[in-house]
Amino acid sequence: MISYQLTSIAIAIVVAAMILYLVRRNRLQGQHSLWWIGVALVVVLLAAVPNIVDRAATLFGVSYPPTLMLVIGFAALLIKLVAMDLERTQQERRIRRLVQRVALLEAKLKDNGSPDL
Amino acid sequence: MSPDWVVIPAQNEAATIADVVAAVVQTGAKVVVVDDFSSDDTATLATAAGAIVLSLCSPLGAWGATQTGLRYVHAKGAQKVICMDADGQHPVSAISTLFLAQVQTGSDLVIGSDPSRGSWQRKLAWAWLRMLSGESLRDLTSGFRCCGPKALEHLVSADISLLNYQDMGVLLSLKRAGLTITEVPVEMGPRGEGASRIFASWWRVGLYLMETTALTLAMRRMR
Repeated sequence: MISYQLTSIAIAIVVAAMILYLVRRNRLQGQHSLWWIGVALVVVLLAAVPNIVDRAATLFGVSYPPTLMLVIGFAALLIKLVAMDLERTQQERRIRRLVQRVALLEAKLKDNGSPDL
Repeated sequence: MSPDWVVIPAQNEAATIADVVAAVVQTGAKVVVVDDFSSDDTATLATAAGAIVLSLCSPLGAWGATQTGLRYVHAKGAQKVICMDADGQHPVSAISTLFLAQVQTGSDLVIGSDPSRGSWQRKLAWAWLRMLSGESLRDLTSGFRCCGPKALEHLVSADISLLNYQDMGVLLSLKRAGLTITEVPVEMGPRGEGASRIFASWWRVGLYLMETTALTLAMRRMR
């Protein structure tokens, strides 16, 4: 049987490699890559030192350590989702302003006697 | 007394746009038609009827289109502007009524309202939103409006480009900025062609109501 540690290190390596590959291919950039590299680091850390969770659970008075993991993971995902929607909203605003501006600039061009685009 | 500028958002209104534009041009106003990504001849017909046409390259909805027109007239130095629908339900003769009311009352926004119009669903929706917002406006969804200088200045800002509908969000945003709104009764005709974009299906009404409810609660003034 493969040890628990080996399994989680393998998962961590796959995640990290995938993210680095995506960044390298210009598919994932900026603050997005930072978040996911962070995720990969955490996975590696948890894989390398599994008893971190147990210690943290004792510290926070959680009797069943995996619960702590799930709660923290779930909270992190929720925060990430809200952050994504905030960003989408920002982008939507920019796109709408751009669409409006294109229409205004086209009208200006026409005013100046340019042919239709 | 008549306004210099009239903004008309239009999406697939080929059936009525030419008549509406021609009638408004007759009054001496400059007409700006914002073509919200129509798939018919709206833009061509509006141009032929004497309007300045701004064409959006992606649909922005009634409010996004209206705001484009407001940005245009604002850049042209307009102080006051009338907004009206392209479907012919807003009587051209009432433009001067609205404009006059704006001048006389000094309100930042004057709404031409006809609370008698609409189905019972619409009235129910209005009653609900009126209760939530604590505002006493009678016709919340009317797109027949006259903006004064302060309202125009406020309405062109990027902060309100994200609104999906032209009614509650716009009104509450103006109220929150401390601007004044007055309603003037206007008898509206039946829609020339086509139905309301919002009050068209239960699904869209539901979406509209939920979104507007959330917006209204979020924008409600603290007291």
